[in-house]
Amino acid sequence: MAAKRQTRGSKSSPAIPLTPESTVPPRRSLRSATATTSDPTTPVVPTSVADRTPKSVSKRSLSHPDAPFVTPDRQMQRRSGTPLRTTQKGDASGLSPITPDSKQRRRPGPSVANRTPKSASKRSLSRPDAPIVTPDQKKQRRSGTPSRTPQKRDVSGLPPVTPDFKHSRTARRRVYYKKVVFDEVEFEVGDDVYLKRREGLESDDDDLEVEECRICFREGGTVMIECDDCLGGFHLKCLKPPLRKIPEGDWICDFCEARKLGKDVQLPSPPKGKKVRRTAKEKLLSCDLWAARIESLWREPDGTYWLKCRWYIIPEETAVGRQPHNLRRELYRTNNCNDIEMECVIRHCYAMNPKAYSEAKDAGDDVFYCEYEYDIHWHNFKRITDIDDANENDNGVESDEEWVYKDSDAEEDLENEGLMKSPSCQRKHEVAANICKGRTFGLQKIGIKTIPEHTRCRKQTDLEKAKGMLLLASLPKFLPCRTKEMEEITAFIRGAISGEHCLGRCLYIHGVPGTGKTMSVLSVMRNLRSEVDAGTLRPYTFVEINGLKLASPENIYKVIHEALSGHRAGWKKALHFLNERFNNGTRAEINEHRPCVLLIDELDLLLTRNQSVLYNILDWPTKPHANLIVIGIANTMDLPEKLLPRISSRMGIQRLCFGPYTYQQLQEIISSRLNSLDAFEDQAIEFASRKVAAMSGDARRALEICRRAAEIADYQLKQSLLSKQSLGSRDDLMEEKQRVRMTHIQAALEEVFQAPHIQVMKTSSRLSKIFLVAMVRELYRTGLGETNFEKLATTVISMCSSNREAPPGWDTLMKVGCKLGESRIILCEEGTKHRLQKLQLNFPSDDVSFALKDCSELPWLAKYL
Amino acid sequence: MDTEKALALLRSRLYDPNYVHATFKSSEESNYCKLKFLIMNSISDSCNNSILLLGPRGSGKVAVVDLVLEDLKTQHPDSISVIRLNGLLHSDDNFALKEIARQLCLDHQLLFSKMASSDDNAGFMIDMLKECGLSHKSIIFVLDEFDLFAQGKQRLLYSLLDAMQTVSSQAVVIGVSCRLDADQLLEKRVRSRFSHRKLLFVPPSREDVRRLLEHILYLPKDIGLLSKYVAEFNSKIQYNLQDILNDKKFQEILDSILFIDGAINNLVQFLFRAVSSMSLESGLLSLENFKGSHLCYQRQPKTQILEGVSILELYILVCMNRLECKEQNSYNFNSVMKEYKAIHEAYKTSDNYRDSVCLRAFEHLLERELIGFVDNKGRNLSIEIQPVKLLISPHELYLGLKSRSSCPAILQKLFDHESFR
Repeated sequence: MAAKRQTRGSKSSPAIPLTPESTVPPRRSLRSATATTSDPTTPVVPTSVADRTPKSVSKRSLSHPDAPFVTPDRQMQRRSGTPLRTTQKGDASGLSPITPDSKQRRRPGPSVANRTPKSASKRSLSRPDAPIVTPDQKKQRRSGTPSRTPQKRDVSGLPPVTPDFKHSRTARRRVYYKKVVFDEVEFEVGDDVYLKRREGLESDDDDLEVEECRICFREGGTVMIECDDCLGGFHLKCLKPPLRKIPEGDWICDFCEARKLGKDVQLPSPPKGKKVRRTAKEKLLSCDLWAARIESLWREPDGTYWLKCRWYIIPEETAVGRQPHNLRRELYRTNNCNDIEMECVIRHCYAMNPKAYSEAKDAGDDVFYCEYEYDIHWHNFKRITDIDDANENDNGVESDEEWVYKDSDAEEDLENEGLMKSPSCQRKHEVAANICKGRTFGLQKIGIKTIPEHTRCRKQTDLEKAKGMLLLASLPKFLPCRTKEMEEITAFIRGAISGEHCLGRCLYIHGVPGTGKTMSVLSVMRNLRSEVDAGTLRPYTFVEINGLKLASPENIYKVIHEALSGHRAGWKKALHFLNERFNNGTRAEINEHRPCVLLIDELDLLLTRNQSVLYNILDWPTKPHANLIVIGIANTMDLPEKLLPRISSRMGIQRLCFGPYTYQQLQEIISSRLNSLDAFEDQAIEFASRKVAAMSGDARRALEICRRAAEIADYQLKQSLLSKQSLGSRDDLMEEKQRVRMTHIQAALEEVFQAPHIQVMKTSSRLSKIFLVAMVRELYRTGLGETNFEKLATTVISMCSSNREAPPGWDTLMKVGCKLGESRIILCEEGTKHRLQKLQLNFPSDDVSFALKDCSELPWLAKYL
Repeated sequence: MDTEKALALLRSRLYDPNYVHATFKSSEESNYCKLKFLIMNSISDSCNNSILLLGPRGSGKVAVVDLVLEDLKTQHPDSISVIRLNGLLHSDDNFALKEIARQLCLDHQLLFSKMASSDDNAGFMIDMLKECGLSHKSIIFVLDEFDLFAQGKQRLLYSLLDAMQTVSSQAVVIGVSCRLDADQLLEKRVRSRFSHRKLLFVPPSREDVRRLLEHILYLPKDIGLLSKYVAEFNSKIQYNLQDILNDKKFQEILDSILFIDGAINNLVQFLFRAVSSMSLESGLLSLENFKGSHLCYQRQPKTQILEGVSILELYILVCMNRLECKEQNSYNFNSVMKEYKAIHEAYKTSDNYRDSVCLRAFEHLLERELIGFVDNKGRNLSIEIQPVKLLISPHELYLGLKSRSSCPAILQKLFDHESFR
């Protein structure tokens, strides 16, 4: 321990004993040395860098002005160009990580370079347990054999890291930062970086910033093209035959093509005396470098900078290995974190989600594709959510610029346990997954062992894309047609919050289902959230509750209490706490509590016999220091009138009505979702929206109908393709383009709106048809809707005998009647009543006559109808 | 030996709804194809769907779901988990949530706690939906007797469907119901979230019935039976016009069965009886088997009960019928006895029994449900004074009397007298 403290301190003090064993100069310091040797003041214009027009994603330009290369000069440029935000606070020790002048920071560069050998060796010698990954440890961890399971590596890798930290933390506090400038480069939490791997493998100057051409082995020059298979770069002019411009779509180099054909390929060998150098990307993809995401940054009490990183791994390192659908530039994020000293960081790289990746065309060479997270314990994959990111960002903004570590050891321990635990020990302490505690860790297990191919390499047709866009779950970027209502809600909330003391207020929103009530409120809250982030609005807490998802109305107290305080309690206790907070709150306490916006969906479900739940909830906002705003949403317009007067008076008069959508609005909603896709005919959309507007004005319904219509069209297309394939005519397979037409909409509408009883009547057995006709006849004769089985049976038998059908037995008839009753074509009592059983048609008699009038099996039925 | 084997094979086929419904796997318009396309799409496009399968009982709704799920499980072995609920068992929301949590835990080898509250279970379900959506796993909820879930507040359906429209999940809800108006039972906020795909199951057409029969009755060549026997068996079923499937008599039998009920399971029951009566000596199916089965099928249980009824009980039934013809709407044991005595006075029959004996006969009739109490109100009253009703129609009584050879002539006369025919 003492030795460690010493070494760490030594880094800041210039006097360091040189240890003779030092052989490997750490990369970082060497690079800073090279940085200083070149003239830092004159920025070199990157003329030599190859310019490539990026056509496809993978053909990314190698030299974009904003490209993340860290050529020393570029670094300088960037540094001085962008105004730096110093994020560290409370750094009284003098050595600040960021100084406004870049030169100052650079000055110690050479001296560091001079010292490097010792520090490197010392690290490996005197601190075997140090969090820096020493070469031998690294070899253990990731020795480059992809077959080894990552779990083993990681478990054996860096166990002694955490205890170290705990001790140091108890001594002095760490200071956490959001952003740190280290060696001229800004590192922020959430950034992705390359990390050093094996220190002795290749010396630093081999690290290439610009890729060389695979044929002429010179870098720069003219435009280069990237092979989509091997990611090698080629000058256009070096190719045979040379290309004039970058081809559309994927391009694969001749070598790869030949290799695919099974030929033995001889790659051009480099000219003598020239070493083949590789870019960081290539090193990473061949396991010689690591990439990681910065989870947190901090400064140790002794002044060294550390980061907690979350590793990325390449597909070869997973348990399943590289799958055929993996992209060349694909990485997986793991759930494995380690603490690393800043020294190991090389430079930025960019692991992007699929959307950003497809947009980032000019981002340079260090762009990687990252869609999945890989669980190192369970060896399974999970998609990375965008929500995940959003939350993290939110947290970041909330807790200001600086993260001061609150000495909550428990939290840290828990986290470490979660991460360090091997599967076997996890199994031992497994908690039931369906209770609250178990949900946090238990669900890590869920994940897929191999990523199914169908989710990846599939070119979607317009129809398929349209289906995806029309999904209810896919939230559109903006919500058309509800701007007025949203403004009203915004004004309401803003008016309630912005005052010095928050006025308690209620808003009641009503409207038929599917008119965007909840969605509007939520999107307003999102907008306000960004306002809070920008600092123009007071921060508030937002609690969302759905009345139908509560096991009982009283549980709402429990949920509110948990959301506000984070503690779980029984509902009675929770009610007590809430009463305390809202009713008896004094002015002093108010300042501690933020205003709370309570959104209660399906408010009518909270009605109890004595309506006490609603009373309490609507009573709190009226208290002077409650700081509570309630937004209630329900379907019925007259809910306040149904309530007891004392409740409806507390509810206030602020109402907001969401009327059913008109057909123009529905049309707009659908076409805004489909914006650029050519999958629907315009009349088809109009037809669907007119129909739905006439029925209910329910946007969900309209979207579902369109989606169903697209599905029907897709089904027809696929079936016709199949039949064509079997016929063998292949030429016009892909040319056929199906659009959703009126007929498809019609079919979908029928499925949704038409009850299927007519079809069932048409296809039912002959005896049931006779039975139904007899019912109608009985109805006409008596004028009463209700009849009993005895009368009906005599009618049926007389009808049968007069039309030369074999009269059925009573029991058979009974069976048929009960069967019709089961599918609710008729309503009937239970069969034990036998001849006294009461029967009634469930559908209008016209439907029966419509269905059975021209029945081919029993033509004589028509005369009874 | 071969015959026994063949019989066992045929029986096991008829017993297995999946085998029976596999007949329609290949046809493009079948529900099997449509359902498979729907579920496949929601798996491959990773979207949510809710489907309602409607159709009368015995039309193979669940069998088709099983077939589809089986197929999909072989195609995507580890990306499907199926949750099965039955409305008869899990119509209570809390139970249903617990059952869902239990099955999810079982599927994913998680530990399940019985103690978890229903809020916990609901949260767990939503978390699982999310997690499974992220890892390209589909959860397929099969809700049998869907109409029974649509009772009360429908919290389960609401939270399920609401989760499906908000969370990026990958779930399919398949509701199976024999009520055609099942989707009308949903509350409007639930209905709005339901995606209203409907598949209707209707009885098979005549060609389909034919295919079904062939599919079931033909013996395959490669199960180790003597090939000569198999050929003989198959040719007996259909080789030329004289054989069973083409026989006119058989067509008539089939017709009369389809006249009453064309559902597949009805047909299968008929076949099962026929196959079971196959003679082991010849080892071949014959038309007689089908005829016998049809006779069984045509039985009328009510009239058969009448055959085992004693003379005194018949007297009581006839008396009750007389009372009804006299338009006396409400009667009890005492008034029946009065009528019985009156008949005895008028015709001097030899069958005169004491009241206690008659009461016992009366109780017998009650047990056999040939007569029944009008309502359940008078539970605590004695049997004698509770109002009763005849639960058998005069026509059936007439048939019953006629079929009894030992029936006294006076009873026939009494009954005929009452202006029935």
